[in-house]
Order: sequence, then C-alpha cells, then structure tokens
Amino acid sequence: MTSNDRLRAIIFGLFVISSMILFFVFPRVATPLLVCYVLTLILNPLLLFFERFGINRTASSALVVILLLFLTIYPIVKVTPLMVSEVNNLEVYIPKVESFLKSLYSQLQAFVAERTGYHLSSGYLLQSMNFIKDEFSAFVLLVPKYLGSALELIFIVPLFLFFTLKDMRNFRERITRLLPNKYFEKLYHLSFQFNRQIGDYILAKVIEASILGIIIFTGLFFLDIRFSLLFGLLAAVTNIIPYLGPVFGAIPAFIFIAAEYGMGTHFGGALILYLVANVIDIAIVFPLLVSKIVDLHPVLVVVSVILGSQLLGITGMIISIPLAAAVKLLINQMLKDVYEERY
Amino acid sequence: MTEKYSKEDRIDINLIKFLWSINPLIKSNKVTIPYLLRDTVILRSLGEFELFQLAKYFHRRTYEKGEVIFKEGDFGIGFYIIVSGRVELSTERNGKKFHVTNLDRKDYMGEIGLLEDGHKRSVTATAVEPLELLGIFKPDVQLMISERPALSSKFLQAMSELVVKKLHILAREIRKLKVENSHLKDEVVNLKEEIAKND
Repeated sequence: MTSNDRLRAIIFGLFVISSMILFFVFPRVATPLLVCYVLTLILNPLLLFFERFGINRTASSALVVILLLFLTIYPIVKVTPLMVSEVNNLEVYIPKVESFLKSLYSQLQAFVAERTGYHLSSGYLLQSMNFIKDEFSAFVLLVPKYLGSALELIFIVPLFLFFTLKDMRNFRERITRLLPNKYFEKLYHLSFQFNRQIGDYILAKVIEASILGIIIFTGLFFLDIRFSLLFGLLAAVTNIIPYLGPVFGAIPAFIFIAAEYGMGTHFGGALILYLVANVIDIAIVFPLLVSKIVDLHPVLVVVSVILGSQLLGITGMIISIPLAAAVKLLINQMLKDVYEERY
Repeated sequence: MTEKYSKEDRIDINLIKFLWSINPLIKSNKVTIPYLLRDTVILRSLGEFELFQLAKYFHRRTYEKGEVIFKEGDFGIGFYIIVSGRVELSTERNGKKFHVTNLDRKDYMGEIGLLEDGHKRSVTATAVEPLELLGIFKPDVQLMISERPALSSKFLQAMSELVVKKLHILAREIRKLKVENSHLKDEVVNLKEEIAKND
C-alpha cells in the first residue's frame, strides 16, 4: 500500500466512522434519512422505468415522489378515522376482556389445585395485567409524541426522498472516489450487493405483510368479528418479526374473540382463518418472495431481530435481518480470502 | 406524447450536452473519457454518442509506481483500459515470480472478470510507472443493462468479441503446441532408436 492509497484508506475509514457516529447522535435526522435511503433502494426500478421513456432524472424523481404520496396519503386519510374509532371502541371492550381473563385464571387455579394440591397465587395474573395496562397507558401517553415525529417524517421524507432519488448516483460516485485502490473492487461489489439485499428484502417483507394483513382483515370482516381492521393491521405489523411474530399477532385477537363471542363458531372460524393465512404465508409467499433473498440460520435471524430492536427500535427490527445478511456476506468474503487456497 | 411528435422529434438534452462537449473551442474534463474510449480498439463498433453515454459508467482510478491493481487469485469484477502508464502482468508459481507481459496505453485487461461469476484473477497486475486506468465493474454493467439496454448489449457484444478473439488465439497456441509436441515425440523416438543402434 503506497502513501497515497493509505491516505485514501484513512479518509474513507474516517468518513465511515464519523457518519456512523452522527447517525446515532442525531436520530431525528438519521431516521428520515434511513427511511429515504431504503425507499430509494426500493423505488429505484420505478425511477429507471420512467427514465426509459426519456424523462430526465429530476422529473422522474419528482414523479416517483408524487406517485408515492398519492398512493399513500389517500389510504392513510381514509383508514385513520376508522382506526381511531376502533381504538376508541377498544376502551369499552378492555374491561370485558379483563374479567374474562380473570375467570379463566380462576378456573385454571381450581384445576391446578384439584390435580396437584398446589394453590396458584392470583398475584401472577394481577401483576401481568397491571404490567400490560401500564405499558398500554404509557404507549397511549406516548402516542402524541409518536404522531409528532410521524408528522415530521411526513413532511421531511418526501423532500429528502426527492433528493436521494435524484442524487444517489452522484453521491455514490463521490464515495467510490474515496475508496482505496487495494480494496476497491471488493468494496464496490459488496456495496452493491448490500444495497440490493436491503432493498429487495424490505420490499418483499412489505408485500408479504400486506398480503397477510389483507387476508386476515377480509377473513375477520366476513366472519363478522369486531376490530377486524385492527387485528389485520396487528397481524401485518407483527409479521415483520420472523417465527414469533405471527403468534404475537394472533394472541390478542384470540383472547378478544374468546371473551366477546365465546368458544363457538367465531373462535373456530378465526382459528382456521389464522392457520390458513399463516400456511399461505409460510408455504407460498415466504418461499417465493423472501427466502431467496436471505439465507440465514433461524437462530441468527432471531438474534439479529432482538439486537436490532434493542438498538434502533422498530426500525432496527425491520432492517436487522438484511443487515445481518449483509454482514454475513462480508464475513464470508473475508473468510474466503483468508482460508481459501489461492491457486 | 401525441402522434404529431414522435420520439425522434423531441429535443434530447443529452445529445445537446454531447454536441456542446465535442465543440472544438472548449476542452473540458468530461470530453476526455469518451475520447479515450474512442481510441480503444474493442469499442470501435460504438458511435460517438454511445461512447459519450458509456463513459458515464466508467471510473477513473490512479495508481502510483509499484502499486498492485489486482493480485493473482483475487476476486475480480472489473475490466480496465489503460489511459496512461504501463502495467506488468506476472504470475507466481512456488514462490517464484514469472513475467507474463507488459501492457501499454490503450491496452485492456480483466474482461473475464466482467463476464464470469465469482471470477478469480489469473495474473497479478502491477503498475510499472504512475498509472491511470478507466475501469468498469460488474454492478455498473448491471445498472447499464437496466438503464440503457441497447447500449449495454452493444458493449457486451464488444466484450464477447474480445473474449472470442482471445479464445481463437488460445486455440491457435494449443494447436501449435500440439504440433510441436508431436514433433518432439517423434524426435525422442528417433533418438531412442539411434541410441539403441549405437549400443
């Protein structure tokens, strides 16, 4: 490595480290930038599609942003009031669910006492219910804050997105100039694979979650079960977490259905619906969309999701898996370099 | 777009930029890459405007004397054209370095890296003097395929012609070696017969 190249390596290293530090120090700027980065990766094919018709880059970026706004704002405006009314209704139903759980627990207590002679303390239930209630009220109290930041995002993201779409290539070109000669080919190749992996994965996951959410929503709607929209959304959101997500998404729905409608046809119908939806997800959607993109060991998947949620919350949860896949790519490449015979 | 104005009638901003850039009164930095590409034998089939578009996918890299561009056995994805300076290609067997060839201005190297998946470099390339290269890499080609399909197919055609040419040279060499080999075998047989007679 010559002195010039070493200088390049140092500058590039400093650039990477400082941008990482800035990223964690200023989350309010970092989050919209991250969202825009991911959206750019997802929307790039659309941009290319417009450009192929001879529309220049600036105009096609604007078109993409407008299209995205049009496609997202209308459903949000339509769905939000429905969601608000459902959440308001939920408050009425919570005590019902609470008493149902209490009666269920006392049955369990009696059953355990009869069989084993051990008396379960009712403290467990009260503790866990209080925990959930506290969490819920804390969440409700935080909603204005979330809404505030969401509002900020709604204004900032389209603006940033326009520029990231327009200037991503120039920016990448500038960065590639910083790359040291010695690692140029490898880093260039890896950065492209990394980008493709993240973009493809998140797009696939969003499609998968929406398919599942729509199936659950329509199913519950036709079963004439209350809060179908809420439970559909819950199923879609929790689907992002692999393996455990579908279970987390289903439990609240089943508790509510059991409390409200009893263990009758509604419960059975919902059970079949969730099973079918998840089988469709596992057997058709996931193999077609997602598994081609990332092949990680299940333990690695769960670990990366936990780490991601700890570091960056929900955003971290979403990007942890493609990030882990990218890191795996990097490590594999390094291992290959070190261990594989050269000739 | 109405029927009155077909695609050909529209003003192409890129074309105007290109025409401005080949204006002999200015000599901006942008002109140099297409100019260099035009000098490269393998890209002869591409027109001026196509070269101008192709230039956007190339990267300019500079190396100092003695710097290694790529090493034998390295993972390679790039195709390089030499702008200025000289490159030495060499290979290593049992710790000994063997000189393969020298490359000069307008020569090129690494075309297999662009085409083959998971290609490993077969030689080491070292800069003999301060060096300037134009490089295009696999991701750039993928980008070009989705952005400018016609251009990329022309470029890939040029690449495959290059590879075919090398294949022909290789086949000729093998043929020559085979003939030489059979001659040598005959001579060995003759020598053995002579030795047997003398004994």
